[in-house]
Amino acid sequence: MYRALFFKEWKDKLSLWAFGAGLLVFALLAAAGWPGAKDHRDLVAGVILVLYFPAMGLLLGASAFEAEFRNDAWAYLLSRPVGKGGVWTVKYLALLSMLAALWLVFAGFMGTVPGLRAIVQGLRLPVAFRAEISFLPWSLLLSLLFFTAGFSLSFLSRKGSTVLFAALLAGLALAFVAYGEATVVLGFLRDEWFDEAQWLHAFRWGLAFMGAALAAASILTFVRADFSQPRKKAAAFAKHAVPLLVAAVLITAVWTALLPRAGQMSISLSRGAGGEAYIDAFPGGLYVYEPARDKVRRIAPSGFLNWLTGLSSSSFNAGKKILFSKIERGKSPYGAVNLWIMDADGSDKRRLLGAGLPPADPRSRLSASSYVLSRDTGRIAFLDEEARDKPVKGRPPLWSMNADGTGLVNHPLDSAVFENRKEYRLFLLPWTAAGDGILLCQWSSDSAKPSKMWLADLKSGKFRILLESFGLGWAIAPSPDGRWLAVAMKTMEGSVPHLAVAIIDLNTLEIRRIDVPGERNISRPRWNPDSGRLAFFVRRESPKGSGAYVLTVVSVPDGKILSAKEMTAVESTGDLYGLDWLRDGNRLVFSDPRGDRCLKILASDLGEEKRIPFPVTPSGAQTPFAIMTSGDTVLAVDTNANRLWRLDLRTERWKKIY
Amino acid sequence: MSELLRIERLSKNFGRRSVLRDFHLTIESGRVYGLLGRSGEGKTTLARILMGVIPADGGTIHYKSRRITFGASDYKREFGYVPEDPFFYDGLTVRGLLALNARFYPRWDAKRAAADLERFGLEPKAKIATLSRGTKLKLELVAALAAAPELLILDDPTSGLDVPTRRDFLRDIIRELAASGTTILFATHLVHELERVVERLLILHGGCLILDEDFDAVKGRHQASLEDIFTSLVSGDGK
Repeated sequence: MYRALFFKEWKDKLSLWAFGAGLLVFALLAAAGWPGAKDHRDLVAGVILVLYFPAMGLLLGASAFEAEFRNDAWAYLLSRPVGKGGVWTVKYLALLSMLAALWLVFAGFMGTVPGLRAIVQGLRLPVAFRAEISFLPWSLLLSLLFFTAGFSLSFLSRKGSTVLFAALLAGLALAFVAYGEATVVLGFLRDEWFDEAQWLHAFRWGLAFMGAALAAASILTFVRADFSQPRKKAAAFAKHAVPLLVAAVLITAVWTALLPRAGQMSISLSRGAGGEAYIDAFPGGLYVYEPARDKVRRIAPSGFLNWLTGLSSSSFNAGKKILFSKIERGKSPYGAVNLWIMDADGSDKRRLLGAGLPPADPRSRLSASSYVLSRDTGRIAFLDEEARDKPVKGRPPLWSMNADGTGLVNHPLDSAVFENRKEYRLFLLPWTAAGDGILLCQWSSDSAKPSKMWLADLKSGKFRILLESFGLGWAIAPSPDGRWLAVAMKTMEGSVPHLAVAIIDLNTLEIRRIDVPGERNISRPRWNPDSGRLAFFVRRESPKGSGAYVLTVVSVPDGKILSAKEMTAVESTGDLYGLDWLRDGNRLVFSDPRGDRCLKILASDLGEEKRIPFPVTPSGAQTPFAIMTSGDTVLAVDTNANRLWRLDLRTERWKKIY
Repeated sequence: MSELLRIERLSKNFGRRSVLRDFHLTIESGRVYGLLGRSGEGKTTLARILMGVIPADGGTIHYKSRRITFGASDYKREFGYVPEDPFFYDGLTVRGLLALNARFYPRWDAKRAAADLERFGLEPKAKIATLSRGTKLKLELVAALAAAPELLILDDPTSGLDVPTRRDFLRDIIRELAASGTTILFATHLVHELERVVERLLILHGGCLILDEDFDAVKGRHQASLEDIFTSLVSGDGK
């Protein structure tokens, strides 16, 4: 009998559905046939997602009980031997299936009209670095919200216009409350004003909870209320809706309050100097991937591998030591970053800094904002967290000590290093090969203020500028053999920008500059296993305005560009994290999470050799599928789900390993 | 005869107006009950409460010793209901409505439905929206009878019927149903209609039953027409 009711709804509302479908098809055909007008297609696709689907959801939902108001069909329906809850549910599902059918029509067009899918996927509104509003899922959510609002209110009045208006107001009010709540909980209670990704997440769940509360109030009213008395019916709805909506607000608040803090849930990949793969998971700990067992093994319950600079390989030495940090209780409410060291297999963990040491030990009062292990693993350098921007109590921030915690030395810093300290941050770069000096980065987030690289000679105590006008900290890469440090540079000659990669020899400190055509920046430098080649992305000016990414490979010994390939527009919309060399040192693997949604194996001339689909469909704003090779495997991070996958390149099979 | 339906302390208010209060009734299976009451006395309200269309404010209802609540629905498979004003989805056809109804009732008698359509001269392809009130009432009857109910609730259905159909309904259909053991609760304000078919007389006045007695006994005691008995009872001088 429920099937009969289901199809009766389809029959009743078929004309409305046909009108909606016709409108959709007309708009899509008109857009498809518009000669050479991509902007118009963008506009049509945007209007469909932002206006059409929520409006159709509202119309379909609000029409739900319109037939029952005619000719007192309420009495007919309610006097049949069918549960009222069942009637409500079947009606809801029937009309929802009509809305879904409209989505299917749209999906059909996306699959057949050339370019439409890319246009829809490209309709995004970035609100922050890791947060963006993708029109497609938000349109789905809003159409469902307005459909539910319309449906939930549709039996309260026989006037269709009243229901439509009330449902529109209710949908907007719920959105406003969810918006306000996400702002209040994250902003005031958690002091995370700038975490837009969390905010969007909370907002989305707030909408879902409140929509569900409205639907629950509706079904309770439908099952229990006296439909012969409109006022009683409305009062019953209010009686159910108020506590349920309050509960939804509270659940949303608790849900939001319990969301992991920004960056709390993460997986990042680091390669040891011997090529071994380390997994830095939070919460979770530090893991090493063991190819023989094809599994990850935890080597520390918690910790970070020099996460502040991203120069994780500077914390390792193959088969020897791992320097890592842990956030522990400290003076700051956010905790202190304390240093630990352990053997590469996870044994012999020892605290190097922090309150766990005897109070008389000066190390117990220190914490680290940046840290680096020497190539021979004998020495450690770190910047005191408290004094990262300025000397504290006459105490400069640079310290060094032996790897066993002895020989703590506070090194005097050249006052020039603290020049304009409010505008710069300090980070440590690798030790020199001889272990008598360390490179120090004076970095500014303001692109107008060029970063500087200093060499600190720890023996003489002298400092000198090694390099100026180089790129962000993330565009610095030590080579696997420890000899080179690649640094992205951007210099200006008048108003003309020039891009280059500086290769610093850590033995001699000689600097070689490889000029690269491009105007904007260089990012993601990746060394091949024998340290002979470097791959990176160059962002160039483009007539389209958004810039074009060019994957470039240079030969370090020759200082020449070996190959370059401009990425497609869709490939470029990804965050381009997913790049690494295969074991042979000639081919690259590149993850394309937003275009073809697969891994691509690129030949030495950067031609596409093979595509391997991802194990799950990438979604969301966060960078999906950051990758790192390890022997004949590729490790890939599904950042949205916080999962680690392993791809066996020989069998091309994926396996979830974390 | 066994108890089919028991109503105790039933009450229902519309705003400040109390329509049913402290209403008690026991219905035994296989009998024809005539519920008389003036317009607005609560006959339709009682029928709608029994059919689960509206909730009661208080009291209990037991059907075959099982308590039925407002949300319950299974018991309605054994109930037939013909309202005073026909209510249908007017977008359906006659055949469509019967097909929809057939899904609800496990004992649906399609042959009977087809025969009754013919008997009442109903066109299966006709749209319900185009039917007259009387024709809709005939359709209500067809739908209710095809469900083969154990209890048939008739809420003043004859007022919209033409004379031949009314006669057919009262003389043949109700007798036929009664003979087959169907229990009938026939609510009406048209007193003379009941006289031909009723076995037990119920008179609703002031929100509760003021009479619940076998019709023959009532008639024997009062030695008057039903109309006179009803008039004297509701005007308060007939006790």
